[in-house]
Amino acid sequence: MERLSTGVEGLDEILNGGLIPQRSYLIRGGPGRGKTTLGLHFLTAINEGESALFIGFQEPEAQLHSNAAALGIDVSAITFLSLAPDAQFFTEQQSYDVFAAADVEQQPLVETIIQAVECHNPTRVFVDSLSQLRFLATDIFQYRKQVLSFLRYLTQQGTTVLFSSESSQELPDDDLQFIADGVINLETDVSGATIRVSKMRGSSFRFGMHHMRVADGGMEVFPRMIPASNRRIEFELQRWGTGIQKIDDILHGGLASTTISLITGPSGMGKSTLASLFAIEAARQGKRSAIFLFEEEMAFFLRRAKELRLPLEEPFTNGEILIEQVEPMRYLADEFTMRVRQQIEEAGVKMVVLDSVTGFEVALGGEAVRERLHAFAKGLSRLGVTVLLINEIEAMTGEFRISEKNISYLSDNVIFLRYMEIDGMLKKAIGVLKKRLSGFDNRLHTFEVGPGGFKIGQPIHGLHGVLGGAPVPQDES
Amino acid sequence: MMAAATAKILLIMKQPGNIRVMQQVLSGLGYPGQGIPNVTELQTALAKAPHPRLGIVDITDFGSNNRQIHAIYTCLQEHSIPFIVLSAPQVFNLGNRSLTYGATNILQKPIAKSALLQLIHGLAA
Repeated sequence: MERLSTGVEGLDEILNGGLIPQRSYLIRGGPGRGKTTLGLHFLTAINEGESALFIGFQEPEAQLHSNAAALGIDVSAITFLSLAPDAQFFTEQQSYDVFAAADVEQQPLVETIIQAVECHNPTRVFVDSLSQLRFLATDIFQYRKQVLSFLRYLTQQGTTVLFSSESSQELPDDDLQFIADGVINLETDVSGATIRVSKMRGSSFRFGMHHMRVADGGMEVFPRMIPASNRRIEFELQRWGTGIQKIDDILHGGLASTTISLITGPSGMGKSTLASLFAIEAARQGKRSAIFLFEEEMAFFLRRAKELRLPLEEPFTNGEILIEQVEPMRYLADEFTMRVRQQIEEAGVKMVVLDSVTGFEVALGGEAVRERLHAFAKGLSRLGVTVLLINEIEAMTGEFRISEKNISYLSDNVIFLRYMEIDGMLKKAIGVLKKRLSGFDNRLHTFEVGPGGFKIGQPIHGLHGVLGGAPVPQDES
Repeated sequence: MMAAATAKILLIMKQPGNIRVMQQVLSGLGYPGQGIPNVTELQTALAKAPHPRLGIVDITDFGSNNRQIHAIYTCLQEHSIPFIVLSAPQVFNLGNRSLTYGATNILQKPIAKSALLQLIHGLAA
């Protein structure tokens, strides 16, 4: 089916390629949400041989030009028909009350629009906004009839129409939603501005809210990652090791490719270092990985690696390991996932380290982390990417929990790091709790982080209650 | 028909927007409309030939100044000019009283264009 670009790449993706031509689409949203900006993008996306007409009831043409210029949108190919009142309407007291507005305005308005349409023969029209016609109709029936007839007139001319509405509790726009072939909603929630398609006759579309931003360059839409329905099957599952024999032995060779692994434990135990080891070993085998640092400064991360004598700098410098510092307050969650996806598609990244889940949660701005992390990790995994999630647990000792965010179900593999107190000494233990695609060494081992990364000690024997952090000799239990 | 087309209609009202839309509506039917904002200009217009065929008075514009409204009615009556009174709903009682001063009709704003035109046809023809 032929599709017309909306002029916004991310929105086209949500609409499975764009708008179906010669139909009408409603853009809904409160003031300042980006309705006019989206309309301008749509009109500027004309192909050769097409023409675009902007019918505006609110802003004068000069103001539309300057607003578009401020956003960096070139509107030179658009014909503007501004039906907004000029300043003289106020200064010369041109308001009236002898007739109803419908009696006076409707006919000349219709004539002006018809004249513009016949003169320019547009293939794309944006009407901003159709709510204005409501005030010119004598009743709701007349309004609906008029809108239907107006849209039919335009689409029968071969035009694809976008029209905006301003809905409020006093003046809902449910009628326009029924009339339109498609409905695009511009909204906001706790995590930022979103776009949501709620209707698209004759086509499927990607459900749900997707983050968007109106900034320099206009509107950007970041389609939310939804895991593909099928995993990309790799007939030969590869193993991702650390290059440290004892860890790889515990993992029976390493983590299987395309799986999701949770590295969990309290602060300062070496979770990021362990993840780095997987990335370094992957680079040694010629596979590219990406580490997204939400919390630690990149300079500190690199310096620490250097102090531990981890060979991170070289693969980082030559691009085998991509490290990106992510400021969660600056990113929208969907924007971040889109960035990760781009790196997978454009840079051929095969392993992604999310450091950490808490930082990702900050980027969500209050949205439920579990659902979003599910979409993120499963989405990457089904693209054939191996995912490492770094998860910090607040409790240093005490009752053992894999995660305080209820995300353990998501993981194919769980590696946990644990503090334990023995004879007044704080020691570290590492263990594997789960590994879906192969067996593993189910014994706990002590470990230390030092030069070269992890030094794995002997399996812990003769102690009970290690997971609680305060083990006691087995014969005392 | 020709006489009706050239007959002037006095628009005795102050609001420029009302005069403008009235003139637009009347010109569509071939009636020139002249805006008259006060009694003095009304007297001047009535002194000139040809005599207007009809007056339309928007009493809302003259507020509660009964004396001024009364002077307008008197002026129009003295020159045998039929007139229609337009009134806002809140001063409709005041408008009703205009019937006793010779108004042929009183209409409440906003008025239906078609009703007004029908009335004008009957009075100005």
